[in-house]
Amino acid sequence: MPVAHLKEVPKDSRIQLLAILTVLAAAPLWAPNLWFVRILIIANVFAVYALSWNLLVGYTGQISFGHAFFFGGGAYASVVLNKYLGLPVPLAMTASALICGLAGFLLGYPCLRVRGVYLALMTWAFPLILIGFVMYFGAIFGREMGISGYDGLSSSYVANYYASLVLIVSAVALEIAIVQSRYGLIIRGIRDNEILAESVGVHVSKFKIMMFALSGLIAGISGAFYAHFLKSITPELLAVDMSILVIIMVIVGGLGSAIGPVMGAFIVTFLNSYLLYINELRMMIYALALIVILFLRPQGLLPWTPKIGARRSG
Amino acid sequence: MELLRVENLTRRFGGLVAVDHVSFEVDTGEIVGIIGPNGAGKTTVFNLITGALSKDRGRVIFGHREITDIKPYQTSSIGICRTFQMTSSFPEMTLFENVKIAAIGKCRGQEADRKTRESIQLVGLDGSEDLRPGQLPHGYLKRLDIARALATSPELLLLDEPFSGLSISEIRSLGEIVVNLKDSGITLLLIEHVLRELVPLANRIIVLNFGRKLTEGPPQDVVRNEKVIEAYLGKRWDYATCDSRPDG
Repeated sequence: MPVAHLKEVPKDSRIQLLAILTVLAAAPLWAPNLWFVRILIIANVFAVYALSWNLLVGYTGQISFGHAFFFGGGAYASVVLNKYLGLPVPLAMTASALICGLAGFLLGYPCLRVRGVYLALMTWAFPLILIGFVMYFGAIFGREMGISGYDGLSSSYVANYYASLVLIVSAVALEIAIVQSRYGLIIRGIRDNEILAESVGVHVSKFKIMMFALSGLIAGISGAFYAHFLKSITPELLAVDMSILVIIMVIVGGLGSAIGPVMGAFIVTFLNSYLLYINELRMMIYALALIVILFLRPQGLLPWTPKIGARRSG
Repeated sequence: MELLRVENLTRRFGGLVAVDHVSFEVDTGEIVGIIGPNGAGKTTVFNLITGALSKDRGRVIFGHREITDIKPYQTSSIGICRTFQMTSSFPEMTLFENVKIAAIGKCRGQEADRKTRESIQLVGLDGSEDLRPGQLPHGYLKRLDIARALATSPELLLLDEPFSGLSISEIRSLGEIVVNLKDSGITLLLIEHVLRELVPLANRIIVLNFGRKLTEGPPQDVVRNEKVIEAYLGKRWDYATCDSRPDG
């Protein structure tokens, strides 16, 4: 039971989590303007996207350099289901998340056969398939111009903000529940030593595919939320930049922690919004920051993250 | 009663026949040693039994069940667990978690915790539960390997060179643990180079050379066998001390 697993989080970490949640819940009260609330919503959505990558890479040790496949795929799937099939937004978002979960499940199979650099290259190629698809079926997907004119979320920024907060709280709770459960121990075992894990009875292939599917599902719903919030999408959601961005967020916050990626997403999203004026230099700045962080502080920039995942001797 | 039967096990790597029609049995409650020079195919036999390598020929029967095509993750659920030649661990986990990951395959919740603590106690590592593998000396890592395997509640334990790299006192102490495991009803198949310790422990010894079974039998017979002395032990072998005589 997720609630039972949340109770196993150390008390000081629970207090930290509660403090973060209180600050976020009160954000519409302290935010200086609507632009700031808008950035917070995007940060929440990117945090969910970062959590999905963290689950696959940080906890399970399966490199993904093409996570935009799921984020952009979730966005396009939800928009198409809403615009062309008339599904209401919540239903379209749910269906798109399930589609991305299924895609993760199916793509997990070929990924079982490769490791390390080869896995990174294979996952890097996934969004390229979708870009080709979007361009080929231009009548539906709008080619470079993308799609607009579909249903958005609520017209109220505050309502959208709280919806994004529900999404991020659910994603964090799910990730903590997984990591604190026996499955958390198993996926960390796969990350640390696959052969040894297999020798003590862990069905490594099954768990890797499950994590690809779950990670795809979470990234898919974040992409769908993003699409309905922005009310217009382009193939840029599938571009390499989107796959790199999520890596930077997780590395900045700290890999293999349930809160690190959230913090990383907030830092990068706010930085991103201030760097909009020097758009050409943005990725260069991020890339340099990534190199410096990996060199000087590979555990992430943040001085602390709640201790979730390490269990006591019972 | 026969627990494990290996029939005509064969595995080629290109032109090299690493294991060549090897057959043997292990009875319940026995300690059986496998010895042989480097490259004799000892670890390959373990890999073939546990499904880590596919077989070119041969069958493996455990209990009354044929497990020739078993997958490595299935072996622990039927009652076979192994350790590796090099110490192997989950470096980011505590010692307790390192063992618990093996226990949760067969039991849940508090039962898994109980099994974990029991396995740690059996190898004498209690008190070190919160340490990480990087903080443990080599001798403790060898014991951790065994504790992890024990947490799967095995009927048959395959130990790959459990005494390698240990001091004499550590070898003696681990030898006692091995005897205790046998007394608790676990059958053991050991690959080992330290014959001085293996001879008093083992009920039988199987000798491999160039992938083939050279001989098998009680330890005292095996260490006097001319073919074994020639292929593995060397002319200076002294079977009274189970060690090579010094030069001169």
